[in-house]
Formats: sequence, C-alpha cells, structure tokens
Amino acid sequence: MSEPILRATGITIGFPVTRGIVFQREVGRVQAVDGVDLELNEGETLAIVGESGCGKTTLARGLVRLQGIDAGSIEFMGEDITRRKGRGLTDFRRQVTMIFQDPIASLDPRMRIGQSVQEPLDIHGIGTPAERKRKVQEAMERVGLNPEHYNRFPHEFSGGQRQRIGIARAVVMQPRVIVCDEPVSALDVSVQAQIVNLLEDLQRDLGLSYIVIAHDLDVVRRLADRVKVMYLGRVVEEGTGEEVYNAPRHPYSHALLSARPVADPVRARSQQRVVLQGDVPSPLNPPSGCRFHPRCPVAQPSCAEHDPQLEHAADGHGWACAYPLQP
Amino acid sequence: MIRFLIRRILGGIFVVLVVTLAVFVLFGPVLRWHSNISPARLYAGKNPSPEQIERVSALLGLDKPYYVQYGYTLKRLVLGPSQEERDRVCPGSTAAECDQLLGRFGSSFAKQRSVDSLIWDHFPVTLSLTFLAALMWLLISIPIGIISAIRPRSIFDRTSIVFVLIGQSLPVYYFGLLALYFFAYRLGWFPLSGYEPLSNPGQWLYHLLLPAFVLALQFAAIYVRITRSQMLDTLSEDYVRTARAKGAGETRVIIRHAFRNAMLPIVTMFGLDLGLLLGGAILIEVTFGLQGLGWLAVQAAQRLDVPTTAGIVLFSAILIVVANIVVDLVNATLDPRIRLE
Amino acid sequence: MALLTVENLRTTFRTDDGPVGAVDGVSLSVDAGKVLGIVGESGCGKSAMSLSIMGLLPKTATVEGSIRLGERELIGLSGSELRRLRGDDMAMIFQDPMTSLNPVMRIGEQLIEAVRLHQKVSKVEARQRAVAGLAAVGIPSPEDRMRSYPLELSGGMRQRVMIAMALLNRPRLLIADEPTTALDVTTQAQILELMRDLRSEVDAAIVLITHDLGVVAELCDEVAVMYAGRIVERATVDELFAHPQHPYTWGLLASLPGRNLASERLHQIPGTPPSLLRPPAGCRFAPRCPFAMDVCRADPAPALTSTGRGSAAVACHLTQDVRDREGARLSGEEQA
Repeated sequence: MSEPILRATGITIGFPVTRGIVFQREVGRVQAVDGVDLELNEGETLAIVGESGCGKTTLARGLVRLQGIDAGSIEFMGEDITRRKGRGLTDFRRQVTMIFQDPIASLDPRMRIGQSVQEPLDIHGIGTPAERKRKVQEAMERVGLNPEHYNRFPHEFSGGQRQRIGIARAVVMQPRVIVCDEPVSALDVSVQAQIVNLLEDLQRDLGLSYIVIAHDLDVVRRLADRVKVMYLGRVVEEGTGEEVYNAPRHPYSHALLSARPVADPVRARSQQRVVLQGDVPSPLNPPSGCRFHPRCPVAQPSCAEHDPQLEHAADGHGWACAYPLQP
Repeated sequence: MIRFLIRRILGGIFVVLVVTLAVFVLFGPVLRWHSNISPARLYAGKNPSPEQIERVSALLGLDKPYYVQYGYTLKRLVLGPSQEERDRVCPGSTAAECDQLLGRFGSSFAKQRSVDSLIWDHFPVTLSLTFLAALMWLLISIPIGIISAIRPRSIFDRTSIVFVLIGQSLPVYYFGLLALYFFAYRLGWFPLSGYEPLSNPGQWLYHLLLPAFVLALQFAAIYVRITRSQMLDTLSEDYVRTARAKGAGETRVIIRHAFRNAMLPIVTMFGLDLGLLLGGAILIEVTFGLQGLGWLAVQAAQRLDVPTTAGIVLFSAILIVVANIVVDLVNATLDPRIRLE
Repeated sequence: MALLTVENLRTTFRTDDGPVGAVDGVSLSVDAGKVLGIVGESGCGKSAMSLSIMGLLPKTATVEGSIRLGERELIGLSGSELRRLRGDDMAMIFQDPMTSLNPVMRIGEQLIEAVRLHQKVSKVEARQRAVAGLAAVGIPSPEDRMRSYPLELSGGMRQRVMIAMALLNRPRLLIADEPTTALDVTTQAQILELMRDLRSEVDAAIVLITHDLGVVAELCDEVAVMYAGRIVERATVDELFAHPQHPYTWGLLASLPGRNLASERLHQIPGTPPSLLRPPAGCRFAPRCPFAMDVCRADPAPALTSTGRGSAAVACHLTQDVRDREGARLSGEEQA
C-alpha cells in the first residue's frame, strides 16, 4: 500500500482556560481535539462527522495549520510539516486548500469574482498576470461558472454559484488535498446535489483527495470512502462508509445514524429509533471514563471508570467502546 | 461579577497612573525643554532674579530629580500634601489655612490658591450644565430616534434627519451666539451670561436653560442617529418577531423588547459623553460666560498657570476613567450576556 | 371540518424594483389534530405564507385572498383584533432558537408575558402555568430554568422553551417554521419526538414549514410542495412519497443523497429558482424541467387538479399517464 498523502498523529488542540484578576493565568486547557490520528490516501475522501462542538472544525483547521496544535504531528507527502514556517508553510498551503460553509461570508463583497478566484495565485506569486488570468478562467469553467462572469460581484450570484466560486478558489492552486468544511449545508436541496456532483467530478478529473467535515450524514455517505465519527474531541468510530453506516459498533454512531429523519413515511413509522437524551456535555469538564457514558443507552457501571481506546478489527474498522454493538 | 468589578477598578487605577505620568512629563520636563517655561520662574513673580527662582525651586521641590518629583506628585495625589511639604510651602500656617494654598493637585501660582479648591469651586457649574443638558438631550433624542425607526423614510424620519444634520454641522459657539442674540438679547427671555448656584433653583434654571439647551441640541443630533440605527437593527431581530407572534402590542414590543436591547450601546455612549463633558464643556462655558471647569481651564492656560491646567487635565481623566467603569457596571447589570461571561 | 382554510392567497411585497409576488394564489386547508407540511426551497414563498397567516408581515406587503381560522376571516381584521389572536388561538415557532428568544429577559419573564397577554390571571398563576409548560416539553428542573437567560441554555433547550411558549395558551393553530433546521441531528430527533408526542395531546392544526423531506416523512399527515410562490403538488404523505406527480417533486426526491445511494450520480435539478420579480411566462418550473413541452413554456401551469387518488392534486401540463409512469419509475429506481 502506498504512503498516505496526509497523515496526522496524535493531534491535540486545546483552548486556554484562564483565571486571574489582573494577569490572566492559564489554569487549564479545554481539549477541543484530543489525540486524533488520521490518514488520507491519494484520491480518497475521508469524512469527519459529529455534532457541533465535537471538535471536527477545529481539527480541520489544525490540519491545514490555520490553528496551532498543542501536540501531535502532521506529515504531508512523507514530510513533517508540523512546525514549518514561512516559505515551507506557503508551499504546503498551495497544495492543501479549503472550502468553507458559508460562500457569502467567505467572499469579499467588493471584489470581482475573478479577482477573488485569482487572489490565491497573486498571494503565492504563481505565473505571469496573463497566465494567472488563464488559470482563473480554466478554474471557473471547470466548476461550471461562465468565465465571462469574471468581472461580476458576488451579490450577483445565487448561493450555489457562490459556492462554485469558493470551489474555484480552492482548485485554482491545483492542490492535492481540499479540506471541505460543511460544503453544502448552507444550500438548498436541489443545489446541494449540484455541488455534491461537482465535488465528485473534480475528484475524478483532478485526482484530488478530500477531507469532508459535515453534519449531514447522508451527504457524507454519498461522498466519503472512509468515515470518522467524533464525540467530544475524540474519534469514537472509524471505518469505511459501508462499515460505519451499515454496521456501526459504537452506540454513539448508531444513535447519530438512527437520528436522521428518513425521507420515507413508511420506514419512518416502522423504524426503531434511538433518541439520545440530554445535550453534549461541556468539554471543560468531560465525563469520567468513557465520555459518552452519561448519554449512552447501553452504558454499564464500569463505563464511568474505564476510558476505552480506539481498537481496530482486522479489516481496519475501529471503535472506542467496551461494549460495542453486535453487527 | 465581583471579579469583573475588581478587574475594571484595577484597570482604571492603572490608566490613571499612566495619565498622571503623561501629565507630569508634559507639564514638567517637556514644557521646560520646549518652551523654557519653568513653574519656579512663573511662581517667582515678574522679572525674578536667578536667586529668587532658585529659592522658589527649592520651596516647590523643583530642584530634585524628576523621578523624585513624580513620586511626590503621586503621593500627594493619593494621600494629600505631606506635613513636610506644608511646612515648606506655607510655614507657620494652620493645616486648614494651608489647604487653601496647597492641595492634592498642587498649588496655582496665578491665584495663590490650591488647585483642588479651584476645581471644587468651578465644578458645580459644569456639573449642573452637564446634568441639565443630558436630561434634555435624552428627552429629545430618544423619542425622536424611536419614532424615526418605527417609520423609516416617513416625513417625520426625513425631517429628523435634517435636524440631525443641522445639529451636527452647526458649530456650537456659532449656534450659541445666535441663541444668545435672539433669546437673551432681543427677546430678553434669558440672561446674557452668568451662573447662580442650585441653592436658588429658579435662578439656577433661569441661567442654565439656554446654554444647556444649545449643548443638548448638539448631542441630541448624535443620539437621534444612534437611537434610530440601533432601533432599526433591533426591530428586525428574531426575538422582536417572537414578541409580536405572542400577541404583544406594538408599544410593548417597542419598549420592552426592542428598546431594552437597543439601549445597551446608547448607555455606553451616554456614560462616556457624561465623563467627557464633566471635564468641562469649554466652548459653551466660554460662550455663555459660565465659570465652569472648561472656563477655568482656558483661564489657566492663558495665564500659563501650569499646575491648574495639569490638575484639570488629571481631574477630567479620572472622571472619564470612572465613567468607563460605571458604564461597564451598568451594562453588566442590563445585559446578562456580559454578566455571565 | 377544516380549522385553517386558505383560499387564493396572494402576498405581494413592494420593492424598489417593483412588486414581488412571494405567494401567488395558494389554497390549502388543515384539520384539527393534523399536520400539514409545506415543502420548498428558500424563496418559494413558504415563510411569506406563514407570516401572512399570522399577520406578521411588514407594511410593505399586501395580502389578498381569504384566510379563515375556524369560521373567522382573518384578512381585513384590524391590528388589535389580529394581535388578540396571535399567541392565543394561533401560535408560531421559528427556525433559530438562538435568536428567537429575547437575550436580556429571563425565560420566566418571557413565558409569563405570553400567558398574561391573553389571560387575566395573577402573576403567581401565570408563573405556575409557565412552569407546567416547561415541564410538559421535557425541560428538567423547570423552576430553575425560569430564572435562566436564553444564553444559559443549549439550542435544543431553547427550542423546547419556544415550543412551550407557543403552546401556553392552547392554540388551535400552530405554525412551525423550520423548527429543527438549526439543530444538530440528535437534538433534531429529540424535538421531532417531542412534536410527535405533543401533536396528539394538543389537538391543534399544525402547519410545518420545512425544506427537509425527511422531516416531512417523519411528522406530517399531508404535504403541499411549493415552488416559486405556488403549490405544485398536494397529497397525503404516503401518497406523495409513493406516487410523486410533479417533476419538481421528482427532482427533490431524486436529489436526496440518503434515498439514492445506488445511483452513479446524484440527480440534480439544473439551474436555480426563478426571480419572483419577473417570473417565467409559462409554468414557473418549465425552465428547469426535463419534461417541459412547448405548452409548458407558453401557458401557465393549470390549477391543482385531482390525480384520482384520494385528495392528491397536481398542477402540471403533463398527462396523467406520463406522470404515473415517471413517478413509478422514480419509486422503482429507489427500490432497486
């Protein structure tokens, strides 16, 4: 098996908790991401799912070095880039780009969209002005925008088209990896499908690898080869889409999947649904033992004491649970 | 909440310290270096001999290194003049007599009085003017701002925008003179100048009404604008729609739901403006011959009365710092989002 | 007997660019104890319609047609008459629980206000009702929560508070506008479960506005699909999913990633919804419709016509045969 294009080991990202009247002392850290390992293979889509506050967005920002990490290392194409600065970091960012959730907020309203798409090329000083313009037009064409709209402003576009602009911005650099943070959740259903298809086409044509952060489990199922389920900063289950969706072993993954509303009234009525009670606990004061045990429908007394580690079956399917569900 | 309060107060004390240092440096070394003005020379009277200047220097402690002088200044500000300093500046007088000459803010050599007593003599004028003006501008601007926001682009709204523009663009001394000419000189409704203490409320109001009104109009213009824009923002909030969906009447929606949220930034601005004005509304005070802090500052500056000028600057700075802390406290009481963070 | 009857509702907004017909001739009715889902994408007029019913639109909007709550005609009622109905006979829940509660008022104050706006009861009595209301929507230690501010509660809890507030005066009509869209999936499941439990208890007519066909399938008895200000298809929920009749509904169903795992590519509806400032001359869906014929582009879509199966009706130029065949093909594909 070939070397993964992106590998992260033991990623831990915390935010300081401060106390003090005059001088703020750091008295602890909230672990938003707590020891996450991750491997992304060439041409593959890895999805990270979980509810808000589970750390998935922080993890994504950490992976592209938009967020400092407390511990762990990131390797890109076999090279450690955890502590890269300046030129080295810029090179890394050329090859690993990002798509954001809100296409409206991530575009400068006073910038023509051609300029917006070209901006990364300008920043990285790629090519002559004529070449840049050509690359921008190619990228626009590739994502299904009319290159003649180069001189228009973002407000002249619909939500779906704006997300296409965001994607053009990400692909114009000819990256190897794109980290997509909730790429379709701000869009209408019919437009979602357009963007999902576009992401699939780009992957096939350009050989891209994706990390997709999303809370919509159906979109994830569609896009992802492998899935990681996160809860309170930890990965609680990982495996292929097939494994996680059809035979979840962790009770949290199971509950998450069964919570999805089903667009089929007959199945919706007959389905046995696990509805989790309560809210996700504060990461400031995570529960003892297994972090999921206070909400877990199958928790045993010992779950409050032992913190289960991620363990893998022979096929790579892994879960962090002392009493996993039987498939 | 208590922690928040302590932090704000400690922060405030730090700011005052920085201001004292800045005032000390500006009115001491910088003034001497830039204009060759030394307090000792001014204090020593007209055409003093070098010996006289030296004597006064020693008397005022100006012969000591700057850091020692600054230490004295700070200590005096906090604890009041020391016995040693009293003996030096006013030998043979009683403590009460000496207080007339030397205070926490030092001694005015133009008037041969303590800066403290000067400030306390003139501060009530400024306080009265500010209080009355503030009352007027709030009473004028908040209703106008709210009505403008409820009916944007109506005739009322457009008229109020014109009013805002006039209020903001007319210089207060020009407008003040116009008001004096018409209402005081031509119509004789108000006195031309002067101030009466609050012990005679009728006269107090009679003397202050016109200047307070001129001052209020200028601020009212700004407050109409901010009230209007805050209310417009708040009225489009989801919770205002929720209040309407509950069946609340418009008045209730506007006052209890919208204005309660819209007033938070207005309170902030109001507190800071009060702090600023209490340090002296120079233009109004001079125009209307009101002998408030602003007037005193102008006098002191003209007479090169360095300790008085410095004292007023410091006093205003303390007022602004206090206003800031009060504003934060009031906001924390009004807005749980600040309190609970 | 229908509790809510809307006939030929037209809601028009005056804008600087001209009138925008957000709702353009919508008719529907809901019975007590039933849930009607209104499905459509953003800008289809579903929210404008619900705000028209509640009388909550700004003055730039004109509402024509007929809206009857029971026997009572709402159009033409004065502001204060409508106000007395709002929050009492008809109540509404909004999409974003984070912004729908007043941030500077305690939960208790907001609930008590809702009671006392409509009932002449003492503060103590109103308080008791508010606490009972919070308990009924599954809020733990409701007495303590009365003293909380909204920011101290999670999104799911806030939405429960909104639901409790809407139900305090036992409304006959409840409009829920995207009540779970802003919530996480497990919280959404909690709120859907709560609404399922409540619907049998409160016996109100419920109108559920949503873009999510999954939520519709979970909660609704009947569905109306809206596109560009009009209802294009109406049916019971089972009928809609079993025999979808309108090409737009087909597109929506086919583009759901969860329903179409087997297909190589996700179906996509090309293009974007039309501007309501200048809607297309013919059927409003024609420019995006893969089945569009000349007549579709020339003539407006016909009025809702029965499909022959129960109450189901569709507004489409295609013949019944074509619609049945295509609808069956879509359902068949999914079974595969």
